[in-house]
Amino acid sequence: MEPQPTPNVPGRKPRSDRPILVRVVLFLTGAIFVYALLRWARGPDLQQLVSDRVALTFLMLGIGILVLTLAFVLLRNLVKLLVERRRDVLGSRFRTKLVVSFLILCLIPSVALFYAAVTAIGQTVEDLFTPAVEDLAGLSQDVVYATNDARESDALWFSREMAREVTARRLLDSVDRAGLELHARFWLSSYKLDLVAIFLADGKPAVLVEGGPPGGPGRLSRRALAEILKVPIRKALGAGEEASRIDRLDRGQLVSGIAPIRAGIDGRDIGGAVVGGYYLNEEIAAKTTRIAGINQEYRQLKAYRREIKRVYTGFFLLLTLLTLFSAVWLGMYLARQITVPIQKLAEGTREIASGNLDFRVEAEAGDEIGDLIRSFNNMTADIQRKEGQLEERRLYIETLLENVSAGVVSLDREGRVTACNGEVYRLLGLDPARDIRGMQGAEAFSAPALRPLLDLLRDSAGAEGIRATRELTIAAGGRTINLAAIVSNFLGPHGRSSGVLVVLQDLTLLIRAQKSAAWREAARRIAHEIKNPLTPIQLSAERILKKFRESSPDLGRVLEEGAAAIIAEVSSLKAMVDEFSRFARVPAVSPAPNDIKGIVESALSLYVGTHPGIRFDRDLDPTPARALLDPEQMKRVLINLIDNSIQAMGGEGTITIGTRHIPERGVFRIQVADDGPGIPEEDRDKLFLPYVSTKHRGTGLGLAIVNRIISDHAGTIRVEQNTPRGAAFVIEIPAAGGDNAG
Amino acid sequence: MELSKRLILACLLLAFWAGTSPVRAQEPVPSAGIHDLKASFKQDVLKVSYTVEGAFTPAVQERLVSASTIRFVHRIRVLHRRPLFFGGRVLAERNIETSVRYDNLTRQYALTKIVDGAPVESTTTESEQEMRRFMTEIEDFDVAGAAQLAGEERVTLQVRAEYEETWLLFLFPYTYKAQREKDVSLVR
Repeated sequence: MEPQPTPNVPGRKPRSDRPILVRVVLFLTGAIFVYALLRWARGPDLQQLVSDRVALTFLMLGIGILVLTLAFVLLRNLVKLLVERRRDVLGSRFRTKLVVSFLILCLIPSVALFYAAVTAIGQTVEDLFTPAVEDLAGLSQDVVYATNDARESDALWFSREMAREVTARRLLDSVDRAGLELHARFWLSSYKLDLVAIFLADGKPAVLVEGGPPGGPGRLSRRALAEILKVPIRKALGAGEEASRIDRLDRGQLVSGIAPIRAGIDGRDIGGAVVGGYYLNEEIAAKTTRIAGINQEYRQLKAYRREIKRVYTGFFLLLTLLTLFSAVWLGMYLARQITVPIQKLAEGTREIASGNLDFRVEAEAGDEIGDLIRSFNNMTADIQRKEGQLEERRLYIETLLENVSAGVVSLDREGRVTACNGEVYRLLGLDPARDIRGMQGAEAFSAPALRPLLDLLRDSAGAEGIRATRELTIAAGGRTINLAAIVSNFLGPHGRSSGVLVVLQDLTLLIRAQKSAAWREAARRIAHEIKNPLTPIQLSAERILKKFRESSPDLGRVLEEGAAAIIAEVSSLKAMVDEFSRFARVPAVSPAPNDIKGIVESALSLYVGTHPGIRFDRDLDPTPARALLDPEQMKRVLINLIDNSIQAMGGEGTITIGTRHIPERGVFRIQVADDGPGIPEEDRDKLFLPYVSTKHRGTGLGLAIVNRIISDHAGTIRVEQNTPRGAAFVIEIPAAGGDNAG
Repeated sequence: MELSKRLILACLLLAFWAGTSPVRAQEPVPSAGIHDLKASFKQDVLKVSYTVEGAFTPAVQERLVSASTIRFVHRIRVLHRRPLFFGGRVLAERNIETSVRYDNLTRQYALTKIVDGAPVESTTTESEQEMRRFMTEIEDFDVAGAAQLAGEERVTLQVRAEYEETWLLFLFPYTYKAQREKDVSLVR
């Protein structure tokens, strides 16, 4: 199955999904603003700008908004970094280190540059206003003023003269405009003026004559002149004030003097005003205008020097913050290129750990990180494929387990039930509706009837690699079940136990059948055994009866022989009955830590010199380990096994008794081996059942008693093929724990 | 954060503050005032006269000679004060904007007066005194008529002159103001 990419956890909207248009617009706005700033900052536009309050407001607010925005974004990023670092977000430490490194790298030179630039600009602006420059500006202006003043003075003097002449000759008394104009032209010529105008008392110009250089700025209309000189004419006509002034014209300048024309007897009345003026030629006018313009610019620069410095400061602050922001952004960008894929990898590991094997890390990275992500995804796909295979195998095993006739239950290292088939429920009488998987063994098998099983599990716990078989009799649900429990340990990677597997086999029917067969065999043997002495008894009794009826003379001898035979056979019967009684009355064992070597030596001492053809070898464990056993009962076991071997060997051969402490399994192994004919494999399983014997005259109770004693020691016994020949009885009983060292 | 890191941060902030210090010039705060505030109620018209003194601060004069346009705005309001209320009900409001621009070639001041948004006077003068009077003196200016003052026996005349323009925090335009109030009885 091809894994489908799983969409990542929905959360914050990814940055890439934000409207690109907004970002482009913001970027373009900022770029245009900075470009405009650069243009303004390098030319005279700035001076014009700072003198315009509205434009300056927009400029400063623009700078301010950009500065605040940058500062906010900068601080936000830094605070976010700190918060993430405090929350120990994956990758935050690396990101913080990178960003702080970039920031420190840029902060010191940026601040130094900012300081130097602001100081330099401030100093440069202030240096413009040295006394020398101030004097130069003032003196140049004064020169212009002095030139103009001289002209104004001349114009006023001539105007005054013309006004006096008008008054003296009463030129305004007549309405002879032609005569008035004639005088005006005469004065224009005599006084070398460029303009002579005579205004009447109503403020209207009666005469306007003009001269001036060819191509000069003159030729004003009367109305234009009246408009230009409106204020001084009004003052001259109203208050009799004289005035001299200079006015800008479209081309050049007009220097004029205005004098009131006195009228009336005492000269208190104002009859009009005379204007005498000069046109400044274009060249001089342009120069004086230029001087005034430069002076004006200089004054403006001086007046707005604070604003200029502020604009530059704001501009440099903007650039500094832009640099710092770029450093932080670059740091975060680079860090993000590394940490985001790592975060996604971490997220991937969490998802996979939680069982979502469909998860695939999606991150755009073309470098080594990209290789890592691809490797991770490949690994996940492999795990997914193997998981599928494992699942198939699990299902197969489950199906297998459900269909085997044995009960199978497994427990993990902590004793929890990890698997269990239905046969277990049936055998142990558990409620099928109660799922015991995941329960502790003690909880799952808590019924009192299952105590033997719990004991078995407890005994097996912690034992390394043990494989034990034990018969359990469990009375549950009004019935008694005989089970064969086979306990195996799961071995982990380092040979340590990672759990226990218990296989339960129902032996009830088998044992019942075996018992039935054993009883039949026992009955046959008992009958046979009883029949054997009964025949000689019957024959002896019949012979005595016959001799008695015949009154035979050898009746006494026959009686004596017959009675002796009967007594012997009865004794034989009695011995056989005693043997049965002993089997029925095997005393309970009392296991305690004992030295097995002493018990072996004690048992072997009974055979010293009894069987000359048999050699008794010892292969005893040299360690001072002890086993949990009842010395008398164990001695009885050994004697029984040695007797069996002696009988099987026919009086010749070697019997080897060996002991081994196996600490890793916590058991003590005792082996009695002979080099006799051995035991056929088909007889080995039923060898320890009562009344089963391979010997001609055996009762079949010896090995049954041995098996019972060993079981009472919580041990096991089995028979194996001895190497190279013969049989070997192997007993395993629990070692004596901490007392072993003693 | 460790102490050393905080120390570094504090040092950087201090350096940044020091870096910006050259542009933080200390400027005297101007303090112009309204003087000779007079109000007269004649022929059902409330007239006001006053002078703004101290409005031609060094900064204003410096800008004036640099041929920048200087504007003074006179806001005159007639209020009906009510107890327990902030401000008061505005009965009448007039705005006068006087502006001057100096021509350093002709040495003339171009003067303009705009009343309630409408230009009412435009003239020139070579006299600084005349220019100052034009800019700072309001003489018998009609503030409110009978219709606006009907039923009022006592009103508050509030005069505010906006003169020097400056900047707050380098960013925000701010105008210095001189303000004065006067209670005027309308009872003849």
